[in-house]
Amino acid sequence: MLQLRAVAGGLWWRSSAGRGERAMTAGLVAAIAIAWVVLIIMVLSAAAGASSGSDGLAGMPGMAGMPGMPGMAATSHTPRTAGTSATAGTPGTAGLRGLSDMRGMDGSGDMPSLAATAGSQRSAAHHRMLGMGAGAAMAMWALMVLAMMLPTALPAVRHIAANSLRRRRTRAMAMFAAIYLAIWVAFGVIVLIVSQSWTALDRSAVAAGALALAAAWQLSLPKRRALRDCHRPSPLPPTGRRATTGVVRFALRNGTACVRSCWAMMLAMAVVTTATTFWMVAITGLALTEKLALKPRQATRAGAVLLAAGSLAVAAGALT
Amino acid sequence: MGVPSAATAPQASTAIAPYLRRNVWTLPSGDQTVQDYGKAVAIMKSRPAADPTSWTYQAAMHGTHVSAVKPLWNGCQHGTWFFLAWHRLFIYYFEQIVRAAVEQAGGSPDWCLPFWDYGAGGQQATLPTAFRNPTLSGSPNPLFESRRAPGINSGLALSPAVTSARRALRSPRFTGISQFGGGVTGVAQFSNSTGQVEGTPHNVIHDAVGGNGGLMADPDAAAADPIFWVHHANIDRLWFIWNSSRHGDPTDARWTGQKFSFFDAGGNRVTRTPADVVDIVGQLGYTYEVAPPATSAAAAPGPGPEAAGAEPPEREAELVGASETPVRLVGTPASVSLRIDPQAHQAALDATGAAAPGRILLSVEDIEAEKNPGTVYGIYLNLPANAPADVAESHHAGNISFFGVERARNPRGDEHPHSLRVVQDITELTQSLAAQGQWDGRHVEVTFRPLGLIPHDRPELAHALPEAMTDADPPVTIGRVSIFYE
Repeated sequence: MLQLRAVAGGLWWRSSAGRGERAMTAGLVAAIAIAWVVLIIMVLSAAAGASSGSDGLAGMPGMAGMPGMPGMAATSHTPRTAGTSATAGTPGTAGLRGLSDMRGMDGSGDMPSLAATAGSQRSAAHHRMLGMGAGAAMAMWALMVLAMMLPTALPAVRHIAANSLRRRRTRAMAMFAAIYLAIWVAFGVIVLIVSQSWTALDRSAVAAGALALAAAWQLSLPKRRALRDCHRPSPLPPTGRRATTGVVRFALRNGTACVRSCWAMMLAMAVVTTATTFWMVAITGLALTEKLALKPRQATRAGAVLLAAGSLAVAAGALT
Repeated sequence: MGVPSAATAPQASTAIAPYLRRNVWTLPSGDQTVQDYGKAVAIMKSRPAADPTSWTYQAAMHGTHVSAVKPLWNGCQHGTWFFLAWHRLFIYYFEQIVRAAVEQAGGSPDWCLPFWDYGAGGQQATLPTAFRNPTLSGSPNPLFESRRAPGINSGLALSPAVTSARRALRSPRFTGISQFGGGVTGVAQFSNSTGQVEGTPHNVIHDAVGGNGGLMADPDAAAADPIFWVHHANIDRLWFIWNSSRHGDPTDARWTGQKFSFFDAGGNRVTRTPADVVDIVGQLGYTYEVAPPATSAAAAPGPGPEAAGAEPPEREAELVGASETPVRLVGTPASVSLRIDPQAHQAALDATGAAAPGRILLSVEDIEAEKNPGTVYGIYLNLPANAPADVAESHHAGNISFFGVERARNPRGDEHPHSLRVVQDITELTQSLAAQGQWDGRHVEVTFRPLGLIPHDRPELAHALPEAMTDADPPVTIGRVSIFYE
């Protein structure tokens, strides 16, 4: 724990940092903090909206039902209220709804069921809403990546700073952060596209399945390799185009390793419908601990247990 | 003789004469220390591998290739400020196990590990004779090991460039970049904050004795070679000497309080911290034969050069130049050039307000290899092409070896990987080169030349290129060579 704290303390502060580097570091940390604040406000207002009825969603057009929409699911009510059909997409509940809801999400508060949006019944308006919903979903996803995944990349940003010439430092750090986030956003696009395939499924089943998948991934060999690759440096030439190439190469390696390591837990984050704040904090903590701990195996395994327990809880909740 | 038991050692009285570790090359005639060691090694080798006091078990505690690990295996600490303390404890408990076995074989109850002072030069730079012969009065010699570098067992000497602890002993501080004991790290088998004494002589002796594929060059096999312990007794002695010249150990709780566990002679698990072992006489009840040269200075009042303990320098080192392309080492000399960036140079000085950098550091980093070639390289600054050995010496900045490169790249269990990094303080070297007109503060050519074994009576060949040099070594890539100001 002592070590973990020491590492965390050294994450972003460098005693020999120049003004530009400090500003860049502070900017990244501020971006992370703002992303958290925005996400938590959304969770809270969504919870308030959920308790006062579905109309609470109307204030946030385009956010309901997007993959990874935390807070929309933060209702304390079970997704199934009396009188609703067995299909998912219960009107008035604030769970994570997938793309089908995005199509239907028009702020009316009366969300159409899955059946209503299926097949030939899709209207041009629905398609328009899909575009809007997808854009908002991506914004939401970017916010989550910023809040949850960028903190784990701060040691790499620091590495870049310490190993770049002073005049290139700010640029190199920005370039690294941009590429790193872009890789995560690209993964979000894939999730968004793939998520269409489970629109017909029960949301709790999807969430339970994703959590179970994330738990299994934690224990896999590719996960272990990916986590190791998160720590591999690559040479950073000092000047000119080689310097740029060096940063790009390092950012690509580091970003893809990070996605390989954390994709499953972030996918779960995108589809969980309950306790989203809990999962946001837990998954961020897990990803950070795995990367910063000298021997991450315990954290990785504890993460698997947590995710598996979550999967069971969601599944059990859906059955009752 | 005081026999500090595991439980009471920290309180052992200095009034009782401590055990004495002596130079393996200058033992009096008729002394049985080395023969007793051989007998004890034979006894330990005959014990079942599951016995913590067996040879196999003890060697595996440093590192092993066996995948079914037993308690406390693979514990060695390298590239970290725990290197010295962990190894001091490791050989301390090993010594107790051997002492018990020596007694069992009818030898002296005061048996102590001898040390190999290769830095003394001459014949002492060759492998002690008792370790060279495959047989001992007709039966296998327990101290012999065939898996060593060619020439070691036939009595060739280690180059003074490899054995010299001069640079290490001049380090003012224990902790920090290119300081005596290593950088602040957590508990990992291989980090990349190697201290000066760990680099040269420790690492380079491992490679020079082990060579390509030998036990000593592989941290997962090294402790199975009986010379390992005699080598480490010397490294431990160098720490003692450095301490004795008023150099303090870290006082940071992350160092002093870190727990490490071992097995004592009874096979019982014992747990100790670095704080328990900083005073070998008072806490552990042993000392070294030759009084350290700076003993008189040790008695003088006043704080040591590192009174401040593990406090880091006020500012982190600042990059001022680096190579643009990697270097590949295959057993022959190789060079890479870099330029100290004038803007970065000025910015670094402006930031500190100094007229000249406090320390100039040469960092050889992002070192990657599938396999340790077992070759030791000298690092030379602005060395003229094909320079003879005597010229090379005046350009020598330090050494690099690749001990542990496999583990750093592919750590066991769940540790994170590292590429190796070697940092040398070149401040004084650049000053002496500048005096000869060979350093302009801008253009730096860094040359890596392999260092071989030499006849013990030809120390002038210290920096000579090895005769048997080939370019068939398993390749090592050095990703970047850079210059930092501190």
